[in-house]
Amino acid sequence: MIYFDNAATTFPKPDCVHCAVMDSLRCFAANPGRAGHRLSARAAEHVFEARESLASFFGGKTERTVFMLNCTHAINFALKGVLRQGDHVIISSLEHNAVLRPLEAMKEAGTITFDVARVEPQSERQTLENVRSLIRPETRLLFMTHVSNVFGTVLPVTALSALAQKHGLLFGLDAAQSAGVYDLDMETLGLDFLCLPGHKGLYGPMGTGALLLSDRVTPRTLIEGGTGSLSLQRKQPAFLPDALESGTLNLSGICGLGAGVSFVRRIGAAAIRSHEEALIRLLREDLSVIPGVETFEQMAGGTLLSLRVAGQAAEETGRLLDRCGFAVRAGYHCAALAHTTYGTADTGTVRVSPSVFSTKNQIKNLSFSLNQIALRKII
Amino acid sequence: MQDYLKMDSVTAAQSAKRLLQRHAIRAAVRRDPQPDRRRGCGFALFLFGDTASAEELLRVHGFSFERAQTP
Repeated sequence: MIYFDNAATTFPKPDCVHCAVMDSLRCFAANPGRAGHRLSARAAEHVFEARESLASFFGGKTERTVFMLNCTHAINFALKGVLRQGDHVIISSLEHNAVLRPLEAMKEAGTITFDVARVEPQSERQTLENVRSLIRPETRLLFMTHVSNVFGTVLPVTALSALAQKHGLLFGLDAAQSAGVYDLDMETLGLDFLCLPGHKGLYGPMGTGALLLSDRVTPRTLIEGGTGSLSLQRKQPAFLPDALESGTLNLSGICGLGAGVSFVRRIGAAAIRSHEEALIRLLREDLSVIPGVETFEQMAGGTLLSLRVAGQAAEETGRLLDRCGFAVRAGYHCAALAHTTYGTADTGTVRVSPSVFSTKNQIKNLSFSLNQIALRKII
Repeated sequence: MQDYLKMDSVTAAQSAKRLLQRHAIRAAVRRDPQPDRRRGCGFALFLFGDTASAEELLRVHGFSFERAQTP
C-alpha cells in the first residue's frame, strides 16, 4: 500500500519513534511525576525532555507547553478555557470542524458570537480585509487554521498576527497541518495559542498533541483531577502545566512525540516542506494533462493536493485508488466551511498528502492510476 | 540534614534543575520528603555546591520555592 493520507496521520513513523515508544514501555513505564521512586523520576525526566524539546522547537516556554491528546483537544481547551460571556471571535472560511464545532456549541449556549471571514485563495490582501471588516468592539480572539486540511491553502499568519496585535486581540492558530512542516515560532508570530497534533507533521504516535500558551493567557480548566502536586488541596493547582494536565499522562506517546520532534529537527522543517511541495508540484503537472481530473490551487506552495475526477464522487475515486494500492482521503475532510469556500460541497474531494517518506516514483504511479480511473479503465 | 528547595510542580523543579545545569550547578529533583500538611505532595530540588548562588539564580529567573531541611 502506498500511503498518501499523511494529513490525517503520518505513516510510517520513523524508527526512532518506534524505539522511543518501545523503550518507554519496556524500561520505565511508571507513572511520571507521581511517586518518588527512580522509575517514576525517570519517566518524569523523559516527559520533561519531550516538553522542553517541543517548547524550544516552537519558540514557547517549557512550563506553558501542555500535553494534550490531539489537536482537537488543544483547540477545545484554548477556546473554552479563555472565551468569556459576550466575547466575539473571528475564524476563517477554511476551518476544520475542530474549530467550528466548539464555537458553534458555545454560540448555541449563548456564551459567544463568531463570524467567518472568507479566505480569498488568490488574494492575501482581500483575505486580510475580510477579516478586518469583521472586527468589532467585543471581538476578543482571532483563531485561524494555518494551513487548510483540505486544500493546503496557507493563511497569511504574519499579517493576521499584526492585525490582531493592532486591534488588541488574542491570536490563536490551529497548526494541525503545519506543525513540523512550516516555520512556526510563538514569539515571532505573536501567538497566544498554538494548537498542534503530535501524530501528523511531528511524526509522533496518535493520542498526542500539545497546547502552547503565551504569557498573556492561562485558560480555565476543562477537567480537574490528580496532578501529583498540591494533593491535599481541593482546588486544582493554578500553575502550568499541572492546571491543564489532570490524570496520568500518555508516557509512551509523549516519548514517541519527543523522538518525532528530534527527527524533524534533524531533517529540518524547511527541507521536509520543500520535499513535499516538490512532490505536489509534480503531481499537479502530471494531472494537468489528464482530461477529467480537476485540481485545486493554493495561494502559495502547498504540501497537499485536493482533486476530483469529473462525473465521479470523491468517495468512489478513493475506493478505486484503494483498489490500485493507494491510501488517500476522500470526502469532506471534516471541513464543511472549506468546501463551501472552494465550491466543492456537492462532491467532496480526494486529498493526496505526502510525507517525508514519499517518493517521486510513488507520485508517478498515482498519476498513472488516476489517468486510468479518469478514462474509466478501472471501475 | 541537608538543605533543599520545596517546589510545587515537577515541571518547575525540572526547569530549575535545567537552568542550574546550564550554570554548572548540580541539582536533583525528588519528591518532597516532608510534604506540607495543608498542601500535600510536592517536589524537592536538592542542590550540590554553591547553594546561595543557585538560589539567587532561581529567584532572578522567577522560580518560586521555599527552603527546607531534611529531617
